[in-house]
Amino acid sequence: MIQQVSDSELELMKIVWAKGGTALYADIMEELSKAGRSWQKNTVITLLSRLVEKGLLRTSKIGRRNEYAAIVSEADYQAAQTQSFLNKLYDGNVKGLVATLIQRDMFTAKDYEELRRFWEGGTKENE
Amino acid sequence: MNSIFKLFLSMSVSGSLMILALLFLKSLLRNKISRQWQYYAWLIVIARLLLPITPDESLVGNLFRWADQASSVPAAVYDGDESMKSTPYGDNPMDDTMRSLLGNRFESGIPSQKGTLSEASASAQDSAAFGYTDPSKGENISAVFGYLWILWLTGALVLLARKITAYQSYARYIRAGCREVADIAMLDLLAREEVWAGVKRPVELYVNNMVSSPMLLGLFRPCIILPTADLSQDEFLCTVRHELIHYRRWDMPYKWLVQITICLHWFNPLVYLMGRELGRACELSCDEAVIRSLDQQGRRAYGDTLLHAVRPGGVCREPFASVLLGESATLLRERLDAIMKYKKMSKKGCCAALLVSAALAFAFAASGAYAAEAAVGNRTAVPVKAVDVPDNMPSGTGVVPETEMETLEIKGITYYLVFNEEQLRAIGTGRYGMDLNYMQQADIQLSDEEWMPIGTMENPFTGSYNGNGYEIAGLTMKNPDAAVVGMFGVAENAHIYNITLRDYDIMDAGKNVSALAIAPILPLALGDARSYDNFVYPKEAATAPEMADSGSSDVLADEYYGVNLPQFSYAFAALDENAQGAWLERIYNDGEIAFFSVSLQQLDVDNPLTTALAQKAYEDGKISFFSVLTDHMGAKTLEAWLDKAKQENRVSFQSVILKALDRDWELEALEEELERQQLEEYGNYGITREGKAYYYQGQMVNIFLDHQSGSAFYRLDMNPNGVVNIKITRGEDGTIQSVDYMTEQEVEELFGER
Repeated sequence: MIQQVSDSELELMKIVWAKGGTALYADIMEELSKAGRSWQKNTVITLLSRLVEKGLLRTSKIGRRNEYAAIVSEADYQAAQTQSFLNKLYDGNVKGLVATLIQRDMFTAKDYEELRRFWEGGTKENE
Repeated sequence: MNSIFKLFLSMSVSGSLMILALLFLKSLLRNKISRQWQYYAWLIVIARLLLPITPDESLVGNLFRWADQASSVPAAVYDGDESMKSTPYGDNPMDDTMRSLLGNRFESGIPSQKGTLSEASASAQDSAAFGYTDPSKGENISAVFGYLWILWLTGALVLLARKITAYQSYARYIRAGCREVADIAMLDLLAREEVWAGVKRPVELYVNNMVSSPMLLGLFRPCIILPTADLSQDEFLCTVRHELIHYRRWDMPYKWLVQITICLHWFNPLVYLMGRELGRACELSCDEAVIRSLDQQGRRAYGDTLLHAVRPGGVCREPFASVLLGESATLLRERLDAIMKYKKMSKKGCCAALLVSAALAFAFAASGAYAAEAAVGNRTAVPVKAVDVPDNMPSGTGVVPETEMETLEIKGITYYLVFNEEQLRAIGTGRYGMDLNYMQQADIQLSDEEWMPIGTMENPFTGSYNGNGYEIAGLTMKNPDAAVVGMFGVAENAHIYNITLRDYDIMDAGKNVSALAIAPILPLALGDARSYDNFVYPKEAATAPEMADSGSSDVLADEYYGVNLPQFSYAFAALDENAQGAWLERIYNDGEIAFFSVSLQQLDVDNPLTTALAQKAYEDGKISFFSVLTDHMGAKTLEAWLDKAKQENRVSFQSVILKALDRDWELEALEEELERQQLEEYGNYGITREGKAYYYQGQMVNIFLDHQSGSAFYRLDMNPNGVVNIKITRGEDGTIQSVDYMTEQEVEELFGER
């Protein structure tokens, strides 16, 4: 089970994923400042070490620099989060979720067509 | 094992003395000395309680030794056997002392009176001698004594284990209920405070509503735990600042150290008192550190934070090892009081702190411990330092064998004094070794008994012989088979000097030897052996002395010049007048004033050489050389010089001459005059003086350097309030040439030299 992370922690995770799963501390700071975040150095270190503690990141030293590598991929994380979301709000009922999406126009016909093709392609391969 | 217990016991006693002393001092100086000092001063006490370092002589060490010895007097009742026996303690001669010494322990309730007594008797167990026993009494009690240390150690371990487990379960419990603070604003504030406090590693921030007040938890990776995240920015800042200071100052390890000390000295009620005092001092000094960084308003906010920090109905009772922001009401009141009264430690306070620290450090050493013996389990009694009295050295003029030599100590070197033939012949025999320093003290007339040279190839002379200007007459060697002929035979790294050998007769010796080594003083010198300043007058030879040992003094003087003052002076003394004159000139020109001074000592007062040199120095204005020369002038000569100097108004020469004449009051008047003249001279160059401060062009002078190159005249004045650095350059004649500001480099050079 993947532990819950705070929004700011997720922001850091997204940076690491965007960097292809591994990022140096300096890279992360750079990305943060690009995103307009002026977080303190120690704050970022604290957040990163929380992510390490929660098993989402692994840290290793390259020389004197800290490198953070994602243990959990973005897709896995999304899946796990969706699952927990689904369980919490729809009692595990996917139809309910999809119904909400369609009813509120969050899911367009174009999306549906793409998804259908993706689904058929997936099932063919499985055969 | 008992000896270690005894060691701890002694440390406990001396530690108790220090605890009492510190508590007393603190009550005297509570508000005058910084809280931080009050906090760290306890470290000295803890060191006393934990470290078995002690000087040879110390209060408690002596007390315990005394107790040891007292207990070993037959009247005392302890047996050295493991089964120690005792009369009831009332008969114990040590009892009163030990009772008053350990009086506090009687009230502690932990060890009984018997326990206390048994501690005393335990200390007796290792003593060197033991008295007889009275087997009829108290066997049951005393059987326990030998095992007292088990009680002590068990108590200590159990206490320590309990403390650790209690702490662990508490920490686990608190950590389980902790939520991370995700608020970036708060984390950023914390991060800034960490930078401010100089904390390198980020501290984790948690909220746990089960704690009653903010705290720092964890020994190796501490974290701050707040009871709530619902804090105003001011409150939050004050809180984390306080906790970060705890972290930076290593308060957690300090607290653990205190706890370990308490566990090891669990039988001593004073250590609990110390623990409590330390806890308070820790908080107070931390407050002090925080408010030092705050203005008046900030301090008020900090006080408010303290008040709000204690939430009513806090859930968990904290063990010692978390550092809390708020604590009991009394401590809180004291802390608020301290915040309001806070002022920077005055100079007086600093002095007091330093003095008291020094006193404590002294107390640390003085109270000592019964360590020296106890630590090594040494069974010997107090060692009596044997004074090394050489029994073979006669000290007076009593009837002693004539070969016995007296000794003389000069600058830590022992010289054996040679007065007569027997003593001279004794050199190199028996206890008068080849490696000693001998000094002749009288003229010696030798009998015509065959002389045996001092020092052989197998056993060369390696010490020193100073003939001291006395004569040795009638040295005779006739042995035709002697291969080495002379007063000395073979010497290695020895110094043989100032000998006058008269009427010696060695010409017939060694006739049968082809490779004959023959010389009046030293035929064979090995290594760095030196033979110099010796004069030899062979029997029936010409009366004119010849320099001994071919190596001429001039060569020696050259060798020692600039290197070895005393040796140079000896070589100089042996030179003839012309050579001495040449040497003095050379030294004078080289400016080697030290060599100049020792050389002059070899000359008589008013020696023509001195007179000529004085003239030269006076003309050259070399006051330092002139000053040395005045020591070798008679009063008449000096007065003549004084008149001359007065006429020519050479003030500095006058002062040197007056000094040599011991005319102090004239000197004083002159120096005043000199000072006046100098100020006048300075005035011409824009330098004025007010009180002790110099001013140059109206600006106060920091570094004031007046130095005439090549002379001893030197005036350096430093005034930390000054703003400019000036340098006065003087010409050959001693008058001011220029006044300049010093460059950075010159200032550096000046201090580099210092």
